Amino acid sequence: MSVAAIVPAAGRGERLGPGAPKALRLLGGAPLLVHAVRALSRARSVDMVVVAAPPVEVASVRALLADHELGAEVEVVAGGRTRSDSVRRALASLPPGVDIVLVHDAARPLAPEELVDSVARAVRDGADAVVPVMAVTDAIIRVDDGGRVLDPLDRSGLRVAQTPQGFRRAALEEAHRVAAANGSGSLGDDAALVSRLGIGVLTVPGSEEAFLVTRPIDLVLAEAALARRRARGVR
Amino acid sequence: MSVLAIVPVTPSDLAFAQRELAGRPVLEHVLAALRGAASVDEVIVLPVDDAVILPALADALSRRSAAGVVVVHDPLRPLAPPTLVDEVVAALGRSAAPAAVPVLPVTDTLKSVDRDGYVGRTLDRALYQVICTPIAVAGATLGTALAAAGAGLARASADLAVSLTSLLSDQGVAIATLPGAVECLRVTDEAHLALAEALLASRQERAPRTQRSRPR
Repeated sequence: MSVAAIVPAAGRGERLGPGAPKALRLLGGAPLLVHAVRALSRARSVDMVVVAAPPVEVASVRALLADHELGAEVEVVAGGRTRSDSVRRALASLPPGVDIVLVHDAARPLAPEELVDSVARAVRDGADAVVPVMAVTDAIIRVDDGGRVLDPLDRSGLRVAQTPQGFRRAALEEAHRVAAANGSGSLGDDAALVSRLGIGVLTVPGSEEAFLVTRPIDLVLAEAALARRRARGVR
Repeated sequence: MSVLAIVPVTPSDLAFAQRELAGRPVLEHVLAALRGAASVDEVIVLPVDDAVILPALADALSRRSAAGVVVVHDPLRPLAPPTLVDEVVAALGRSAAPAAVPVLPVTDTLKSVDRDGYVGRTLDRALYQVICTPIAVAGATLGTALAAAGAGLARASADLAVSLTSLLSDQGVAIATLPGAVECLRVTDEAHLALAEALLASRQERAPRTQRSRPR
């Protein structure tokens, strides 16, 4: 059994403010994408990593990743217009021997290797689809169109979904094929697309460190978390 | 109209409320923001037990002359700026709603999960907001809602923002939302504390020199 990890990294990530594409924003001196790919490639369970880059930047992303010491084999392919297009293109590039596919956000640069391995293990142990989750700690309310509060949300049955998400390759391919045919590819994450086929999506415990960097404040949080990690002697 | 700010502090808040942030306890930053708000007349700290934030609030309010507006703030949100406090108070005057909460967009992907650990539906983030504090409520409205809820208060959530908005929405009180400050994060672990330090440092760098160099 062989495991590939896909990183769709063709988006702009406008919420982080103007400038470079989100995946190329610097964290501790290296682009977010490099951190994310490094964690995947160092995970024992992962045999290859495929990054979907903006089509005009395939060569430069390939050069960027070659500059950093990364464990597993890393390929760069041209991504698409939407995240889902990018995942589909990366899937199409996988060799036949791959039967487990992880999909990881470039914007979760600090997801630890142990998390990557635990997601891959859950698929290997028989789950068709796996998503790491955390408890919801924010207080969340439902609002109407006018911004009035309708009611607070009961958090007990809810979880925050993270990545990497893991899939039996055939399940993920089928989900993206159906989503593309329905024109609904940009709705929801990969687990949601698979779920729509009626396939069960199993949860495993996520990681505090696998948080999403999407606003400028998240980048500050990631810098602080990285500094603490380096102080503990972890690269 | 008098504006009273209340900071309920529970035993479980204490660990981080007392932690040092840029040279002073987290709670002091919270109190400084409230005192620094032009709209606030008085600030009180209310020690409460974890399970009974709302009953303690009702009790504290019943012992005082009625305030025109009550601002309730979380002791673990040291970076919410004084301007945000003034904005929630001002929002009461602007809107027909007698309560106002600052909110932020939901950036996480939220999914329902069943008892066997399988994922159900994915929520449409656009329909939801993350609430923070300070929350402003017309004093009379808050008093009435607390009295009407009666014994039900004891069953409220231990989370201040949740318990207060639940109380108000259960009692049919209209609550307006306004854009919160991303800095109103709740400091509940080491990473948040480190983040708060970093944000305070960058805030100081941005501050004009005249505000920084005070004559001694």
